[in-house]
Amino acid sequence: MLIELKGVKKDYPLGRTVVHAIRGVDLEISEGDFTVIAGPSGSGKTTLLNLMGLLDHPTEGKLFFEGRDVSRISDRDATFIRRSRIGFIFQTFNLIPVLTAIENVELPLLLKRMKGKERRKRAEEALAAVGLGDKLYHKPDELSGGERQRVAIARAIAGMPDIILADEPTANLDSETGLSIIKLMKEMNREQGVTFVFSTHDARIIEVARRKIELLDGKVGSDVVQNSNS
Amino acid sequence: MLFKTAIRNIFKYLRRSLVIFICLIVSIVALQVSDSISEGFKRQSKILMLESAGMILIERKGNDPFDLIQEGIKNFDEVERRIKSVIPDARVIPEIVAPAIVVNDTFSVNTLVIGTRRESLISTKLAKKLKADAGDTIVILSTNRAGGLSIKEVKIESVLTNGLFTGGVDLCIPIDKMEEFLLWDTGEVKQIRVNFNQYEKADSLSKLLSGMFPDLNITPWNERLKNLESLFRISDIKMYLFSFIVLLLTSGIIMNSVLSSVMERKKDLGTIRAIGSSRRFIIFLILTEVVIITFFSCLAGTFFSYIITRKLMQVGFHYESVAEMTQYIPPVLYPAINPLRWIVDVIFLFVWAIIWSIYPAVLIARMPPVKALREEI
Ligand SMILES: Nc1ncnc2c1ncn2[C@@H]1O[C@H](COP(=O)(O)OP(=O)(O)OP(=O)(O)O)[C@@H](O)[C@H]1O
Ligand SMILES: [Mg+2]
Repeated sequence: MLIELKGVKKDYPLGRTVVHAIRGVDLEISEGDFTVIAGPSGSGKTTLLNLMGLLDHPTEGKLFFEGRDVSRISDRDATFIRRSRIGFIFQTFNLIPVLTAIENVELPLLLKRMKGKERRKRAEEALAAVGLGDKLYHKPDELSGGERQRVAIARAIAGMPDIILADEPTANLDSETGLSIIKLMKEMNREQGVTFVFSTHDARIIEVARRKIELLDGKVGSDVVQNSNS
Repeated sequence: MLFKTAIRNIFKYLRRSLVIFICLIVSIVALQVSDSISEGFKRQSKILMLESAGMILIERKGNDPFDLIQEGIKNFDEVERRIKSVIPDARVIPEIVAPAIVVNDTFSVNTLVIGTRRESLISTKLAKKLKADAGDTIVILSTNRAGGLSIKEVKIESVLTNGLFTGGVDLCIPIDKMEEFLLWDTGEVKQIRVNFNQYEKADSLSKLLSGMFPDLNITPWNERLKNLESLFRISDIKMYLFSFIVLLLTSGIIMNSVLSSVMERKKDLGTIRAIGSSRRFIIFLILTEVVIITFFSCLAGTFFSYIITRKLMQVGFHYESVAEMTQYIPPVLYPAINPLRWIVDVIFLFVWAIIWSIYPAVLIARMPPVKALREEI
């Protein structure tokens, strides 16, 4: 079991009141999963992914990463796990604007203290894998939205993480491009065995996922395996 | 890559970088130029003080400075010749200290005779107080060699502008009349002041002269004027105050600029944190930018300081009206460059710029990545 949530709750103080963003979630993510978190706006998708990505602490309940309780993990240890085991893809791509495509992909490898030559080779491979082998030296603002998200995927897979978390990776793309991005992710999942958990609103994209977790008001509404064959 | 990223960020946020850049240039120029002015002032007024006090003072051994009837140095010409053989650029000034105190009400003054001029000088203040002019007759009360009091009537021959104190007017009384009423041998040298170009060498030169003249007391200025350095340290305080104000302004501008630059980049920095950067790396990233800007500011600033200081060294600050009041303020002040102080200024500004960037850097580095990422720009 890669990630396990047990009775996880997350509250946000908001002025004098408290927002209960996650109201008790039990969930398991296994290696090799290709899971979508669906749900209406405000249902807690982002919050849940942030918790799984060790970017935030649960208010209540327990969170396990490979069996280790990480509910109260220190910033230092969380950083280390994120760096070595988790990849992120963001809705707004979040590429570093001053860096070229290849430098963006190299960045997490640099943080892992990988040496220059190997780093470059890995980054080239990752960009080639997402079909951007010819745009290594483009800056983010010289790329289309779809291409930017591909660079972001390359950045996430380059470090060979155990899991990639993607919060609405297609929300800023038109639906065709969005679909192709998800297909690319699925290909990575199938060929390289990378675990993906992503969130979306888009019904067409939800269909592609193997497992669908429906979030409603901070709770798991349904959790189904929909196309186990693919 | 850290370096490359920093440089590109500097250019991406060019306006903000320029603000820091220019602010640091102004600070370093302000610090270095004010340093040079105070350094020039110090050097010049120190030389003036030392010249008038004598960089090396020579007296007969065993003389009591409070004894008005001292024994003089008999063979002055020979002494002068031998001093010049050791210190070629020496200015050897014989002094004939009059054994008299001129009394007028509560005002008293030592009459001082500069041997080479063979004229007696009374200060301008005294002249003013007496309301005397050329042709007037004044009465001088003095103690004489025998310890008694003498009263002499002296006619003022002329009023001369004294060469030593420019602008001052002194009353001159013919030297023979002084001799007459003070019963005092004006040919006798009581003290010798030796001045030369490198006052720093006074100590070693004194030792050299001591060996040559065993019966004379030879004292360098630093033994007599022990407090001179602390006197100049007081003049430094004003400069420190100025530097402090400059640095205070700099700190505010730097902190503000760095803070707004990191806040604008919250999302980027949050992303870097999310994909596994430590807090230290973020701090490092921001400080690298500041260090690069500071480096170039210091280079450019020192260059400008040099140009400005050189210009000021040609023109000088004119202080004639102030200098009249005291003999120790140079009439024209020329700045002087002290490379060591300039380096200290640079190092200090470097540290200062980093200190004030640490707060914004730490602030953004400590921000939870979720919070930094939520920023929509
Ligand atoms: N920092 C915060 N402070 C206060 N409330 C918050 C905060 N972050 C999220 N919330 C609240 O928590 C709830 C869940 O938010 P979350 O962003 O997880 O929803 P979401 O499912 O991702 O929505 P969307 O589809 O619009 O992105 C919302 O009601 C939101 O207002
Ligand atoms: Mg969301």
